[in-house]
This record gives sequence, structure tokens and C-alpha cells, in this order.
Amino acid sequence: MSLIDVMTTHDVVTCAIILTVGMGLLFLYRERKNAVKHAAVREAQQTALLAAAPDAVLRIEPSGQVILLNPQAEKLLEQSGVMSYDLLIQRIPGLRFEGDSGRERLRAYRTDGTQVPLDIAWSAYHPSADDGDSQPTVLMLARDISLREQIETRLRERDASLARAARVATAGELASALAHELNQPMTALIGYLRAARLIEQAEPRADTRLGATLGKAADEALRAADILRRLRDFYIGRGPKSENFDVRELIDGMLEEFSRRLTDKRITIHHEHATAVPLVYADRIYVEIVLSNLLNNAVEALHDREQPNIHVRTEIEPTRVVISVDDNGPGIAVEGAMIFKPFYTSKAEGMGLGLAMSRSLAESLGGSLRSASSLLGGARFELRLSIANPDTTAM
Amino acid sequence: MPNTHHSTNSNVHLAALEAPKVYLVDDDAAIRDALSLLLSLRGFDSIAFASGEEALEALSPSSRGCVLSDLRMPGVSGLELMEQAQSRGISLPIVMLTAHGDVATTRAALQGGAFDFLEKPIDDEILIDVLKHAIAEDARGHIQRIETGRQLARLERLTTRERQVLELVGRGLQNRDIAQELGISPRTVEVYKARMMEKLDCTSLADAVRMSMLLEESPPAA
Repeated sequence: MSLIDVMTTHDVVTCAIILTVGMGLLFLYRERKNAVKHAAVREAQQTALLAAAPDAVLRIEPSGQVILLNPQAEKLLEQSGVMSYDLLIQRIPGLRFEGDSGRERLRAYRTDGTQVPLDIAWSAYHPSADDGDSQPTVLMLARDISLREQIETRLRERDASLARAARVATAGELASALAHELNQPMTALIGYLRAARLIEQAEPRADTRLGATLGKAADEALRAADILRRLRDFYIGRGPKSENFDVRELIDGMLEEFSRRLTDKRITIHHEHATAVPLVYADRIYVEIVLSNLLNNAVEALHDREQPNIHVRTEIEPTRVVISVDDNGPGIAVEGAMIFKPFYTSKAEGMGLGLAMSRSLAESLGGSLRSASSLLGGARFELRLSIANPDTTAM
Repeated sequence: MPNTHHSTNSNVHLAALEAPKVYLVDDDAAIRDALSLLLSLRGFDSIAFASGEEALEALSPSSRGCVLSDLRMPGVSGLELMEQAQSRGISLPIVMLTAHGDVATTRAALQGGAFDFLEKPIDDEILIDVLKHAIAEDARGHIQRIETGRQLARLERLTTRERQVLELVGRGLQNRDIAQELGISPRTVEVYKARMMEKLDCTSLADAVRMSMLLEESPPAA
């Protein structure tokens, strides 16, 4: 007789229920075990991730407790594990969590009095969906941007000093151009006055004041010329501070900066260097002023062009390194030498000193600046700089 | 000892007839006018040119005096004028008029053989002084060139043997050594030496040694 035979229907049902419940429980137990295991893996992953992140990560609980989630956070706030909300605010003044998320630049004050500039991002959330009315938890990330700030400051300072140098050079060119232009009539004037005095001396008059007056007039003209001379010396006095350097680095750096600031993003700037460009002997600031002048001119010439292009190249000659700037603008309408004359300009608001100054700067470095027609269809400028020493080749 | 018939030196002698002039070159008309007037009042004979090209056309190896040229001019610059004049055998001293602060070009001008440079604007005393010196320098050089020309002409009259003897005398050799070098007798050397000294119008051995230094500039007789 089988077991089934002796069991009543009721027994069978009871048995089935027990079995089902048992299996269900077993299932639940295993699920639970898996979940625990998964949670552990997830947590390990999260910890590793947080440790690897460049940012300090922290969680602000509704209770006001701040949990520092990674070593970066602990290092930044000089606390381990947990700190109070009040202390956090004390360390990072101005920190506020309003709304769902936010981003701002603040400074953290460290116990040694130093400051750390931070880029802070935070986001608020409610741990469980049915908990909408209570205080949210806030997750916050803070990144140390000291390095970026340093670079920005350095760039700003460099810009300022470049602008200052360019201003001085422009003023110098103005003084020099004025001195040169006025020197010509001044030379003639002094010559005439001295001649007049000689004529007077050959046939002296009763009134001796004429001779003396002519002499005084010539002396005054000489004095005026001397003032111009000193004005020019004052601005040119600095003179180039030349050193040996790799002009490719300077060009690469400049073009990166220049492209970043270019407002007309249609313009493409290509640049290529000859292989093994030797070091040049020049004043970096001068070279930068000349190149930025050439680049600005090119950009202005390209404002209404389709597919505007600028090509910057370095080439090598026996004793010189040639840096050329080509554009596909309208080109130079007048004879080459003309555009280098002080006060010549094709721009409505130009003073006409940029190229004159650039050429003066190039020549004061023992180099040259020339214009030509570009194969691109526009203008081409060639800046030649002296090679430092034929033996030293930058590889 | 007239040697004006000699072709290589004829221009030198014609040149002696030209009066010294100041060749003024400046692209600025007022400067040309004022300086010409000033120079004439100070007793200089001057002639003005508006460009380097014009000046080069007027200048020749027989020109005497000096050049007073602006350094910066459109077309042929002062530096180029100097180079081209030199390559055409024009030996005039060149005084450059420069703008203040033209250090690089001024240095190039001096290295290229400019006699002096004056910064614009120039006062007359300095100008006159420099021009006087330049003209005197030209005269001195001119006389020296005439003298050298004469000596070269004399050298050309030597026979091959006489030249050889002169060369060896110049090296400080004694008669006996010269004889050995040339494979002739010392007595014959004596004869050649006497003839050579006479042709060269040398009264002492020292004169002959001095003449021997010009041998390189004088081609041997055909």
C-alpha cells in the first residue's frame, strides 16, 4: 500500500502547502544571500571608484552629519570619516545647498591658513521615494583647481606684460617715426639758418641783432631736435633682451592661445615646422609682439572671406630661421615697402604703426620682416631671425 | 720719368685735374637746397643728387672730393650706393647722414668702409670739419695711388731676370745666394741688380726692398 493511499485528501493539500512554503522560504533565503553578496560587491566597487576619483566626495545627511566618502575628502577637510555640517560651512564659507543641485567656485580654508580654490558640484536627493517631505540628503563633489588657477593667473600676467611691451613698442615706434619725419625738415631748417647767418656775416648790417637772432633760431631748432632724440631714446632704451630658444615652442604656445581666443571660429590656422629647426637668438617678447601683430592683421583681412585660412610655417635658411604667416585674404594692394611706413594704414581705425613697429623690432634683433604675395591668394609676411649657433639643433 | 702714356694709370692722372667736390645725395629737396647753400657759403664746391642712382651716374673713378649721402633713401640706399661706388672703382670717402638711433645700419655703414657718419640734424661746424677731413683723406689716397701707379709702371719695365733678382733681394738674399738660386755668376747678378736699381730709380737697397713688395700687384712682363 502506498503512502498516497493512506493519506486523506486533506493531508495531501497540507503537505503541498508545506512544501511550497518551504521552497519559497528556501528561495527567499538564497535570494537574500545573493543580495547581500551583490551589495558587498557594489560597495567595494563604489569604494574603489571613490578612491580613484580626482574629486573629494562627501554626503550631507539630513541629520547634519557630513560623511567624508573618500580619502580626497578627508585630506581636503583635514578630518577623518565624519564631521559636522557647521564645521564644513566654517571650512568652506559661502557653501549653501538651495534647490536640487548647484555648482560654484569657492575656497576651502585649511587649518594652516592656506586656501584651496575649489570647483564644487552638488546634488540633493531623497533616499526613499515616499519620504518626499523630509530633508534631502546632499551628495557633494569638490575639485581642487589650484593648478588651473595658477595657469590662468600666469596667462593673465603674460597677456598683461605682452600688452605692456606692445604698448611701449608702439609708443617707441611713434616717437621714432616722429623723430625721423621731423628730423628731415629740422635738418633743412638748421642748414638754412646757419647759411643765413653766414650771409649776414659777409655783409654786416648796422643792426647787429639779425645775426644774433639767426644764431638763436638755429640753437632752438637744435634743441627741438634734441628733445625728439631723447623722447626716442626713452622708449627705445630698453633694447632687446635676446636669448637662445626654440621658436617652435613659442609658435605652438602662441597659436594655441590665439586659436582659443579667436572670435571668428570659421578661421582655420594651420601650422607646420621644418624638421630640426635650430635655436634662434632673439628676444621672445619681441618675436611674440611681431607674430601677434601679423596674426591679428591676417584675422582682420579675413573677416569677410569664405573659408578663411591662415598658414604659419617655419623654414630654415643657412643663417636664419624664417617664420612665415600666409592668409587667403584680399592681399596687399600697394607696393611692398609702403605698408611698413609709419602712419600707413588700410584700416579705418588703424594708426599705421603695427607693421612699422614690427619691422623695427625685427631689425633690432638683427632679423628682418618682409611682405610678399601668398600662394593662398592673400598676403604673406616673412619674419627672419638669426640662428643662435649652427651647432645647437633642437631635435 | 713721364709715364702718363701708360694705359693702367692714365685715369689717375686725368683725375688730378678735377677739383674736389662734395657729392651731396639726399631724397629730401629742402635738405639738398639748404646744405648746398651752406656748403657754397663755406667755400665748398658741391653738387646735389636726389637719389643714389643719379649720383652713381655722375660719379667716376676720376671724381675727387667726397660723398655726403643720406643712409635711408628709397631705391638705392646709402649703403648700396657705397657698395656700388666701390665696385666701380670710385674711391671717394663717403660720409653717411643717419637718423638718430639707426645703430644697426650705421654699424653696417662703418664696416662697409664709410669714412664717417653724422646724425641728422647736423650742425654746420661738425659737418664742415668732417667734410674737410674726408676731402683731405681723398687727396692723400689719390697721391698715394699716383705714386703706386708710377712705381708699378717702373716695375713693368723690368726684364724677367731683373724681376727675379728684385724678388730675391726683397727676400733678403745675398748676391752669392741669388746667383746660386738663379744658376748664374755673382758678377752677372751685380749687373742685373745695377740695371734693376736704375730702372726703378732706387738709390738704396732699402728702396729696392720696398719696391719688391709691389711685385705681386704688377704682372710680369710678357
